[in-house]
Amino acid sequence: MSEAEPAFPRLLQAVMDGTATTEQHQRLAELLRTNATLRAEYVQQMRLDALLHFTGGAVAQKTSPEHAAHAAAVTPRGNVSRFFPIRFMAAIAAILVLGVSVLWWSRRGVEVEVVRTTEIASSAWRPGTKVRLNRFSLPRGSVEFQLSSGVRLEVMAPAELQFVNAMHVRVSLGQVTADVGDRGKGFVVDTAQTQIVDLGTKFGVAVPNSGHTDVVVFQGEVELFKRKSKRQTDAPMTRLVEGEAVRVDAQQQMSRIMNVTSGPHDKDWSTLGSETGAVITSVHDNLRAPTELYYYRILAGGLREDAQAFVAKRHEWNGLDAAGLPAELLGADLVQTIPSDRHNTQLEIVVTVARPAVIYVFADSRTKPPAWLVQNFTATGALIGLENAPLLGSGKEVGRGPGEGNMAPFAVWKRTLPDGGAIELGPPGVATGEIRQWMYGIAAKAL
Amino acid sequence: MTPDQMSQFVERLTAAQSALYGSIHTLLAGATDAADVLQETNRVLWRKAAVYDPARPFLPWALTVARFEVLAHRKRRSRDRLVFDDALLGQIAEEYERQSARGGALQALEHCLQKLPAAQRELVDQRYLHGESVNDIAARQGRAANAVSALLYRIRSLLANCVDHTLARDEPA
Repeated sequence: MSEAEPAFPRLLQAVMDGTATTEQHQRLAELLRTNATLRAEYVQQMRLDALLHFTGGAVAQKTSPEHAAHAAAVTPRGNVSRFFPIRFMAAIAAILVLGVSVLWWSRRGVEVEVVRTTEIASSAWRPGTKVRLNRFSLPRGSVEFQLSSGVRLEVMAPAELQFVNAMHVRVSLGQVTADVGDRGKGFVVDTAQTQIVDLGTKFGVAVPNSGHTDVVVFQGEVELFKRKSKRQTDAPMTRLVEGEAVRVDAQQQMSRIMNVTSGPHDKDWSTLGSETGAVITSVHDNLRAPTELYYYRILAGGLREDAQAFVAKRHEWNGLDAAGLPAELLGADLVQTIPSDRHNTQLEIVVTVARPAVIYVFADSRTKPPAWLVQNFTATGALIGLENAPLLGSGKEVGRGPGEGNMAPFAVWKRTLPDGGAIELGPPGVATGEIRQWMYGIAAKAL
Repeated sequence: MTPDQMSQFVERLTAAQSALYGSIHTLLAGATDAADVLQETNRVLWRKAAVYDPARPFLPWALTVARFEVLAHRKRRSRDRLVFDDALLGQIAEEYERQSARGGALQALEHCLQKLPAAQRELVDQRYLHGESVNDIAARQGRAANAVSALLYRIRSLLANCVDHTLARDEPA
């Protein structure tokens, strides 16, 4: 170690970790320019740092670059195919040219199984294939992986990830949906702005180019920590429960995300209002308390039997009996509302549709309909059911299909917006006596 | 290019990955986009496969390509932080080539890692296998981050010397 520069190890560590300041880089350049011994030490240290990163600290033939290239050619049954130069070259060519870049300096630690892909033509990425990944770049399409911890990750392009171990990934770009399962509690996702620690859940992380991280909880809970905090000792910035979503900006300030749009598949969610074909473009409310972090989920064409009614809880919309949901409602865009708003007497919600549409409100028929509903909407006379689903930990199953489960009748109200635009909704009706009313539902269908 | 030549090229390119990554990592002073530059270097080398003379040593040629890719990357990202000027970059590249002239560093490192005392090996694993930051390691061990940095520095020096000695010993006379 350089005795002339006792701070050199710390300076180098900051450079290696990518945390060096401009001043530290300038200091490094100055030292290396004037001191050949330090220059040799710098090269020696950086070279070893790279080699150790390359190997994950334990070099073995099976984790060599050759193995990583082979891994791209394993068969769907998970067996490494016999080495043929042409196949080997094809695998490398696929990695180099097709853009699915498993970097060859894979550490030994993280084996993942490919569950499903879209828009990836390479046969090396067939479902069932096992590959070892460190840094992973996905320029297009999507991949679903299963890690040895049981965690499932759906990655949407463009994405750049680093697999640290089976319980830890870093996302520098892209959208990742994590279904953590029972064994994966404690799973960690790092981004440039925050560190997300799962507490047993399904959640999404989106890191667009614009320097922020969006975190959306679909089920369970997560904790968010500041990027450089120590999880063992520091308190989290916040804890998010299902139905909540926040944006963490470059200054690590948090703000509520009000809308999450979804396509037909779970992974097709977006916090940026991406085109899903939905007629509903936004849902806004007057909740302003900083602790209110709930979002509205807009599911394009999502109204069908057993559609989840709220952003939290497992309650579902169903036909009240075997006849099922009214035909005019099937395939409508569905807004999953916030269940705790059922007691909010000050609630104001504004729904905006992009084109001519019918707006539907499903109101608990056991309560007196609120004045705003009577004045602005028409009762269709139809009733649908809200299945009051058993709690997740109860061991009881949610009813499947129309008429199944513990149903509360909801009246279907509608209002036509012939030119599209926005409409304001008010608080839910208030029940009397023993009845506990539920929050209303919202749907829309293009004319 | 014959299939045999192509096969030989791929083997050399594959074997050079750690040295190429090390070179880019060193020239970019640890910038996180070293992986991108490696990817681009691989693409360029792949495109140049047909003009590569198999009688020439592969690694110096590939390192030169990597150096040019670092320069090109720097040019593309010129608004970002610039760590080394061209002259210093050249000096560092020469030093890197000198230190990595002997192939087989990965295998030598395997041997050297096995010789590390258990505590040092554990620290290497925490840092490089599990990807823990120095600050996290220091907090968990109740030590100062500077002390952990200094220890890692010492371990890397030990490993570098061990790798050099191992390669020199195994070199044909």
